[in-house]
Amino acid sequence: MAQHNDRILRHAGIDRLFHWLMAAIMTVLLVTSLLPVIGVHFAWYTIHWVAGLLLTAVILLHIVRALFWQRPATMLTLNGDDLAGRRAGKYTLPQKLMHLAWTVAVLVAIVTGLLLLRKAGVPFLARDPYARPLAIWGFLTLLHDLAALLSVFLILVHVYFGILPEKRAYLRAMVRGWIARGDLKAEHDLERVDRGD
Amino acid sequence: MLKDMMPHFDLYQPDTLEAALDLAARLGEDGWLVGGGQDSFDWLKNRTRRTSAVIDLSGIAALRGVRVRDAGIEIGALTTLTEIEDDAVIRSRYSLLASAAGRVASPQIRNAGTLGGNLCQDTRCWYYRGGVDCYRAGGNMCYADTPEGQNREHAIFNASRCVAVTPSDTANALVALDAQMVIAGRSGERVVPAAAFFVGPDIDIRRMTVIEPGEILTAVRIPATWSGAQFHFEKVADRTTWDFALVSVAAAFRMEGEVIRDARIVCGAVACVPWRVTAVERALVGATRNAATADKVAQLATGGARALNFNQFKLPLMENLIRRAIRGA
Repeated sequence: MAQHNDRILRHAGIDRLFHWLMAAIMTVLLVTSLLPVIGVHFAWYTIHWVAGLLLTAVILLHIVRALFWQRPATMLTLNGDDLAGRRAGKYTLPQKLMHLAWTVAVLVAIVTGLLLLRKAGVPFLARDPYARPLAIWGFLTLLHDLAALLSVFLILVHVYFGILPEKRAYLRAMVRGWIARGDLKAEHDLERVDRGD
Repeated sequence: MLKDMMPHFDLYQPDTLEAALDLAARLGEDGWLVGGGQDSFDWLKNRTRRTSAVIDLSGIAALRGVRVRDAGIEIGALTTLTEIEDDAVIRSRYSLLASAAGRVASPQIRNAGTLGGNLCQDTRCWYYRGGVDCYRAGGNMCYADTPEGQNREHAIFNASRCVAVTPSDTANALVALDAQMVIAGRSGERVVPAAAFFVGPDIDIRRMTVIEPGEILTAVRIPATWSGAQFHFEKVADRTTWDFALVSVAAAFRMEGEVIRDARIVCGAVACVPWRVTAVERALVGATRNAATADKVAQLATGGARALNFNQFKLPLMENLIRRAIRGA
């Protein structure tokens, strides 16, 4: 893992690309869904569902990469090490919890969004609002909207911590890929990090 | 539920624009603006929509009449459709608008209905008018664009979840004439091109125009650009005597001899907004206005159209109307 005497590769190029791609698409999704609600009217619908399909594709690629090219255990929340109070490996507990929250928000938004396409209509799928009872459509819409609101909250938290001076090394790592060993000392067990734990 | 019976509301009858704007600003979305009432009274008597207050604009004399202005004309929003149909200046310079106004509904309705009302009227999608909780009504569904939906009258262009169409005949003529809409509010006046005045469901699924609560359409200005051009208006409806259009076409041609120098082709009842057929317009520039040209370019009109289950007839109907407009019927 060590690239340089005091530098550790934290995020490979492909993972950084996924992260920023997901961030850009999430921004598009939230802008196209929330601005009309607060009175900024524009042709949002097509942009929204196209961005939603793009996000689905990127998330699927991310899942495949995480399962087969990375160690999913590094991101597992509340594993034995966390419960035993050991110092963190690659990710701290708050980082794992943030990832878990994003996982829930994005997966709920994607699944409900894909199901709602049948009701709202897209060029490649015949619209059929009678495919499910009205109550089910309402419930799916509610879940979709709640996932959007959770995403807004998570973005605020994520950006806030991302730009805090003491956390900025993580942000730099998501831009350049590497992080200095010194920046990890405070919260991470460097031996575990070196093991890729 | 009581039908065909006017519900209770507070009636305000201002006699100046300023008083009307004050009322509209004060009442906001609770203040229902009425010109001739031909659209509003349907809503209110059928009780599918309600309001606590109606602002009757018909007493504002300043909003009536046709005035020559800057080589063009200005038509007050409360000018009736009959007055527009009969006005000598409009008939001589912008006969397209006179023809369109003369094809709105029945003589009785044209006597009471105003230009402003005809432009600002709500869509006639019968699911929406029937009071169902569709997207346009604030719900979460379109009942017209479904496998079983009765959508013979609905859109073939620019549908975005809602497939309702514009019911206005004069709107198409005014878009073809490059008209401008004058909208007054308490903060002042703004002028909006006719083509930008109408709002499709992709932009805002809850309304048909850019008019905000508290604003009033006061006049329509038509520039001299198309004065005296060659015009053609034609409307096909189930009942020719008074129905809403299944498809209509408003066309204007600026000629140089037999050659078309510029053209405007606008179709009604095919989209939620007056639908400019720019592909045909471009193809017409420099062409001769005759049957051969019409046959050649008319098929461009339906490029990108998406018919619903029961309105596929609109595609050939639209092409044929445009063909007739180009060759002069």
